[in-house]
Amino acid sequence: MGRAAGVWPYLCLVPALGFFLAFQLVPSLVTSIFSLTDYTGLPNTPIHWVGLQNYTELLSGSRHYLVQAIQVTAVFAVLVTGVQNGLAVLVAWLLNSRLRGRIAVRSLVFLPVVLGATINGLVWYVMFNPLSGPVTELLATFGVKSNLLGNTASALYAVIFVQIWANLGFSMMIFLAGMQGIPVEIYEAGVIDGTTPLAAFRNITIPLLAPSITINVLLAVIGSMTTYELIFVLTDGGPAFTSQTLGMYVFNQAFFGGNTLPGFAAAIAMVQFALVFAVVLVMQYYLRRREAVL
Amino acid sequence: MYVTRRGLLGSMALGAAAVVLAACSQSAPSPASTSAPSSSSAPTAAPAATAAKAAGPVQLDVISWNSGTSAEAFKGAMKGINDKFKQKAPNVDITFEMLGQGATWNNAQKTRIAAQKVDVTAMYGFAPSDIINFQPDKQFVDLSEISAIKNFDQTNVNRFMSWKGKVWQMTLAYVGHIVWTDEDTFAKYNLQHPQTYADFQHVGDTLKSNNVVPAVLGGKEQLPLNRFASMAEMTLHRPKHPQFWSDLLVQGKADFTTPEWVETFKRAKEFATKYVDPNFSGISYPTVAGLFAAGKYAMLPDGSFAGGDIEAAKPAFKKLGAFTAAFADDATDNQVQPVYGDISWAGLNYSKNVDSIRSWIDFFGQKDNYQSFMQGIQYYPTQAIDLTGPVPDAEAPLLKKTAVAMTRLPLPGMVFDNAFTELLLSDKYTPDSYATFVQKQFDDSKPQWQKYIGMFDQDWAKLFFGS
Amino acid sequence: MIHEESIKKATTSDWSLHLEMRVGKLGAYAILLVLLLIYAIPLAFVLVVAVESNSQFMQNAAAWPSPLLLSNFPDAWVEGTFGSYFGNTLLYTVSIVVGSLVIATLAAFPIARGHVRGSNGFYLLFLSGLLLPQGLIPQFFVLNELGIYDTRVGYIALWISHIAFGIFILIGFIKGISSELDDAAAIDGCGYLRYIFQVIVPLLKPALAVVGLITAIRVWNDIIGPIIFLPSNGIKPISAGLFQFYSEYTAQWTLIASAVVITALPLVLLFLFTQRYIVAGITSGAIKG
Repeated sequence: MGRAAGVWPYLCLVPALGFFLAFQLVPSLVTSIFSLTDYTGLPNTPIHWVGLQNYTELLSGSRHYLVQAIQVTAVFAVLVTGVQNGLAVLVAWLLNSRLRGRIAVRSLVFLPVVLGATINGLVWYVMFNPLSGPVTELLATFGVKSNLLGNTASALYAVIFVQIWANLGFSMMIFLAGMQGIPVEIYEAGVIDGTTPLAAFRNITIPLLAPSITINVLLAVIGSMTTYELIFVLTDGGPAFTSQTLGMYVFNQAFFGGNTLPGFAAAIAMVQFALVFAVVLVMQYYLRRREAVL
Repeated sequence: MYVTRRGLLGSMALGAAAVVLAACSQSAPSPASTSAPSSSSAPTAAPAATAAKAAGPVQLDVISWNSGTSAEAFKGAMKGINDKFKQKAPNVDITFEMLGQGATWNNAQKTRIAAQKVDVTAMYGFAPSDIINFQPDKQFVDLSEISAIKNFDQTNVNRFMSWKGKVWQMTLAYVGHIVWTDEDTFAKYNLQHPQTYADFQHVGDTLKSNNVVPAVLGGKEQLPLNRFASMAEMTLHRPKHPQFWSDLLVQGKADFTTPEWVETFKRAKEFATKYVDPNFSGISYPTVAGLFAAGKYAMLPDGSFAGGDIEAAKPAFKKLGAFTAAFADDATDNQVQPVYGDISWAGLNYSKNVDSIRSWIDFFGQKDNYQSFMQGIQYYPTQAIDLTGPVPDAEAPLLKKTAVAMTRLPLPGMVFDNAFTELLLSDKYTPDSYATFVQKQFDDSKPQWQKYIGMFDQDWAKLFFGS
Repeated sequence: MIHEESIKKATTSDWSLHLEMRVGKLGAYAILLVLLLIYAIPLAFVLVVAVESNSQFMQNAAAWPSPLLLSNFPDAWVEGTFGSYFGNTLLYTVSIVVGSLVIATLAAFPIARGHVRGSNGFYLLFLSGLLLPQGLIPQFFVLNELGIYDTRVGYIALWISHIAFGIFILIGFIKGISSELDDAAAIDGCGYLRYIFQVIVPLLKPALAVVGLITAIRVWNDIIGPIIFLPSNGIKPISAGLFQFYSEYTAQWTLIASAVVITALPLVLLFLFTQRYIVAGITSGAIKG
């Protein structure tokens, strides 16, 4: 079919290629070039090549914020990835059974994924509202005064909680898919061997879920480094920048830093891209090796 | 293998789907302010648009931000003026759009200008960063010769509308930073508007002892704290260092570690800790006007523009009052209100209808049109007129002494947090260590803003700061 | 057709029944209940707030609404001009999803089968698209030069270009479809395009459903796009409306909650409706027929 079809396969490729090149690839490359200029965004001003100046400025005057953002992101990524996926595996395992009501629970847990970050953020901002939110009131009955999103000690963890809540459904689905691909014969073989359910889980389910684990971990890490919508609605990176992840920092500089020039914002974006790329590369390698071994 | 390769690929593909789902909220954006870099098709240097008067149909696109609760009043006032203008110049058709607030507005405005799809844009009164970002002498229509400018207070023309000896926009209103008061509560506990810091503290202590939370701030968005900071700086630091900001902008030199700055930080932090709702770091700014109107707090340190929002929220108390913040020990120092220019009209000189633009803006600035507009939106007028209503009544006595607020003064790239965010929202710093921190940030960021030093000279500073 | 009945799916309760772990069952239901509560309560709370009065929200948000203001919904609708937003969102979602699916399928097939030279190269090219930093300013340029900036068409074109993800998934699924079908069709003299649309697409239905749903969610929830590329009010979608609503000066949380419910409802309904296909799509990829 391939050869005989002549020019058709190429024609089929054209629309996708066209859109992709024009609106994605080329603009991305141009952005990277902007980061090397002093582009102001004004119609009448000339652009000058400034080389790495934006980057050096990023590492001097704004170093404090960049470093803080990376630190916050590290905590965020580790906790979200670990907890979210750990819980997702358990929940998937549970929902993979014939318990009653599992479809309802499955839909409910997946619902936040459908609702989107903005709505999820608004929902939990209202829940945590220090003036009259249910969580605040609940804690108050235990005598605990709380301002979870406004307290420098707790804001980041509250945000992490919501992030996990919002995305658990997706990880769970992926694990579910993986689990349902494990034929029951393996487990039955295990029964004959006398393995306990826990051991079965550990020695059969988890290893055979390796591809799903890879995907979920990669996703969670990349998401942690780039997401901003949810954090924006919950805390806007605060208080005092304690919940400002890399994604939030890029977003704030690009949109709300009225004082920031586009070239500088582009430089931050490129730094973010480089970090994400590096992390993904390293994790891919490590996770694929694990998969292959199993 | 029981898990097939297709299965693996399938779930990997799905996983990648999720990668992209996560990446779809990936934000590596650059602001949408843009332009056609070298191939500019519009005749940009065409201020002498003295081409034959446009007798044919003319379309003027006017954009501004959405002013929240006063948006309806704004739109109404605009319609009133545009209808009248239509009678004067029937061939001119005006479309007016409100394009959102804050970042939405910034980006929408910049892209419209870059796409050359707008004739008149709303601007704030000039701050140094506006001059840098918009380059009015290159982009805007020269308004120096239109007759309406004479109607405006010369101080306001100097500080909000001018650059390089010409007038580039018509600033209709300005805003300031004040402390709104629930006069009913004040009367109930026999409190007067404080004249000194000791008074201010006394007011706070009295309220607290009567189980009233003295004040509220909207700390969640962090930026709105700049009003609070501005008042502290104006009353405590500025009187002793009146040249601080002009030195900073003209020479690039600033010392944030002087005792007056430290005292400013100290009292700001002290007041916030003792008298503001302890949960303020989690309270969302858009809600504070409503909370104040509901009678939950006795004082709201905020912008003068909050007055309209408070009234719109139907206050539970009968009388609304205001005073200029009293952070200093000297009563005269405490009378100066920090202000900056607000809604202004600027024409874009690439427009084909520069004559009509001038004509329209001029019309706007005529006394009776101006009066009706300002009566609608109730901000501080830049012309010498009187406004009526609970908000102007509360505000009018406070306009005798004003000075340019520090809020909008930082240059692009200058890392100086004018909202004292980290000081007010966390306990990481003491006033002394915070002063050192700010100084370091300022100095470290020098390479970014160094290039602008020299743009603003001493004469400009005299005109801008009024001394 | 791909059948899954030949494999009995392993379920954990088979397992537990095998060993009569009754305690496990109780614990399982307990966890299920906790999950139910943690997910249902916040969402239910938003519904409650959506019908509260603003003053009640400030004093005592967690109590039963009295008065019960169903009028919040029409109020929010009107204030947020959701009418036009809804229409726009529908238009965008449908056209972007359909457009993306068509174009992605067309591209995925030749690449998956290696019908074009350098298929691998194209594959990697689109893969890189998943990680690229956004080039918002240049995108603005391109749209502006093409004269479609601040237009519906422009926005749709921009979103369709996020095609890397769809292509990636579809390639994976197509590789799972036996190429013997291709050869059979070629012998029958079936045209290239006809083959794709009449044979491959039906087999791809679950994958298309997944890609379609995820694309719809992304478009529906896109906030930044409208800010930059759709400044004119008349063509804004609902996400922009919600964002604007939220950032207005005096935020009335009760109205915001109503707006959230209004915005979320269609998505929720869509999801509940297509749930079966989604799950089938997810799981069919992992089961060998």
